[in-house]
Amino acid sequence: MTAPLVSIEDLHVHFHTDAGVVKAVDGVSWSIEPGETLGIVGESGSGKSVSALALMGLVQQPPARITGRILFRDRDLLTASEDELRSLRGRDISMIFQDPLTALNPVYKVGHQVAEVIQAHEKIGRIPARKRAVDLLAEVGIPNARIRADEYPHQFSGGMRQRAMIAMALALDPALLLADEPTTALDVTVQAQIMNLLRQLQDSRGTAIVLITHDLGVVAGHADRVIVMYAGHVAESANADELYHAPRHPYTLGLLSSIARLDRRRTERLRPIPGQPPSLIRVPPGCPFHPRCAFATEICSREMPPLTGPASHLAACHHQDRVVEARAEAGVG
Amino acid sequence: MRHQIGTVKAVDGVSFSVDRGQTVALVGESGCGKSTTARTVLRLIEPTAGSVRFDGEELTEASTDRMRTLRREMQIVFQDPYASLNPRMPVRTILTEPFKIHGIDPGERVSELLALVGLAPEHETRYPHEFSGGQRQRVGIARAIALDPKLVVCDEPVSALDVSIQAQVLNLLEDIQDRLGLAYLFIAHDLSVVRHIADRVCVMYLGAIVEEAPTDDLFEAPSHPYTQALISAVPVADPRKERVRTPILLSGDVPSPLNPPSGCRFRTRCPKFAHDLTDAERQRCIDEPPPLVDHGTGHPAACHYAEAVAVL
Repeated sequence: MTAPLVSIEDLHVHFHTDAGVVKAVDGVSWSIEPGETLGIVGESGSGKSVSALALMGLVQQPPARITGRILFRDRDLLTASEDELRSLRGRDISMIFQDPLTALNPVYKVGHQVAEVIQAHEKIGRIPARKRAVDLLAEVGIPNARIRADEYPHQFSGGMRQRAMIAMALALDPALLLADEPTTALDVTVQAQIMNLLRQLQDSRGTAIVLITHDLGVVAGHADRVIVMYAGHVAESANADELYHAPRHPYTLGLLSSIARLDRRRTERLRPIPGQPPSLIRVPPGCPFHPRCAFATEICSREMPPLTGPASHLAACHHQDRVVEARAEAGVG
Repeated sequence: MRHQIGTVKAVDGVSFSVDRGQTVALVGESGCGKSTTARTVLRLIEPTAGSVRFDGEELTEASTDRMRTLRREMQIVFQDPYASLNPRMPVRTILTEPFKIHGIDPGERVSELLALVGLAPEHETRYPHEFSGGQRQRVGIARAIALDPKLVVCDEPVSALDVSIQAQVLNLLEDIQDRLGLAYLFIAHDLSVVRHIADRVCVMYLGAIVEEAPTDDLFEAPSHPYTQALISAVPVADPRKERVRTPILLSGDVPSPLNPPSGCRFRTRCPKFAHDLTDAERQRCIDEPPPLVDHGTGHPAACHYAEAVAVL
């Protein structure tokens, strides 16, 4: 096993609001190795994006209170100065977002914005920076890059904007790319193009990618390992094959058996998970999933189950054995 | 002074029918005209030309009064229940409105509707913001079925919902269809959802239907190159399958509907046109718009060179 590039240890991100304390991330640990793709899946409000934002130093304190450790190459980013973070962001770690139109500056030409990233980190003249920007835009598949570099973001289609974002994010060859729902706003054929592009760039540059998404299909196709988050906690963490074919947490099992499948003829009915995810202000005591869980017993409402199992497949559930038995009946396996 | 610079043919020569109790899905990517088509069916958008018949009656010629009466029979559920429910009205008022508009005494219907969509009686005093997304969509569905319509247009009814909630709402839509014998015109971009819920599927591209088939035929033997690319691009929640699947990648973007390509609208992005055809064959794609007919694959596809290919 190689040394992790990033390891997040017992991270808590709590937001203090008038309505109460929002426990967006509540004791989460994960790590990623160089060149690896880690998928983080979860529904809205599961806290899946917040650990990535904290890693980028993009969570403001206050209102947030962050505890735990975020180690990047053994340096704890939570104790790093703003200057240190600034030099790290873009150069070593960068991020792409769901909506490239809000992430790009509407009043600057696209080529200028890519060049700006390079100039922020390197002593380089305007003209060579611009040349590199054009090369990058061409590399991410923007046709006529030299001409398109002089256009504004609104002149780009959604897919082209996301390509431009990727060009900016990868301009300095970072070791880690955080991709937060990178294709959610895109049509499915464009999604396929963008995910294909990310994979090619990852292969040629050895970038590690944290792929944050609600889409179990996108993760299945691209992640080596997957973390399932629920109500600010890690419910399950395993390599992709095991997670999809041998889940040990009732929430993962519930998600997999509730989704409609493109590759299957219509079954009788879908099997939804009853109820709805909790508000992060009022997370249920014990296991946060217990009010919706078919396997829950008395202990589940009292004790938060720890993540147990071999390091390659952890699940936070008191009744993993029963989940394993129920897989076949649920049509998962 | 007004100056017309062009005509956007958002929907251009689309024909399809929905039978009683059936679910027909319109699928396609942003800008393909699927929502415009659905709204034209309800005459929320007036068609430039063409005919929409409901139970044999021509809607495009119906008077405003007649249309209002007919709207009892055809309703719509929108994607975003937050934007389509009046924030100042409690659920009881929202659900009483359709009755008031049509001068009907709601009687006990509001409580019946709440029960039918799986909401509790006490929910009737709450306002839309007090509900979760899934519950709000239930309110939207209750409003749509309040007057026992024959047709409900479902415009991306689950796209805004979390995965674990989508299944709840899809099951609800199916239950209601079974109980009330409704027909659904289902608009969605999520093909997995469509495969589950639809009896028949029409695939749209740049304002036109390019393929139409019973659901399983469409997914198992798609015949139009666009349908093939679309299905192949949807990732399946199974890493073992995903590793061996290769999406058919389309080049470029959808052309502007202001100035669609001549002949076949898809030819500028068509992998078949780019790689598999001879120059003479290509010329036909450039000159002749392909009709939506059965080219020997068992169902209609608008491609001169349609052939069924398994892409799942």
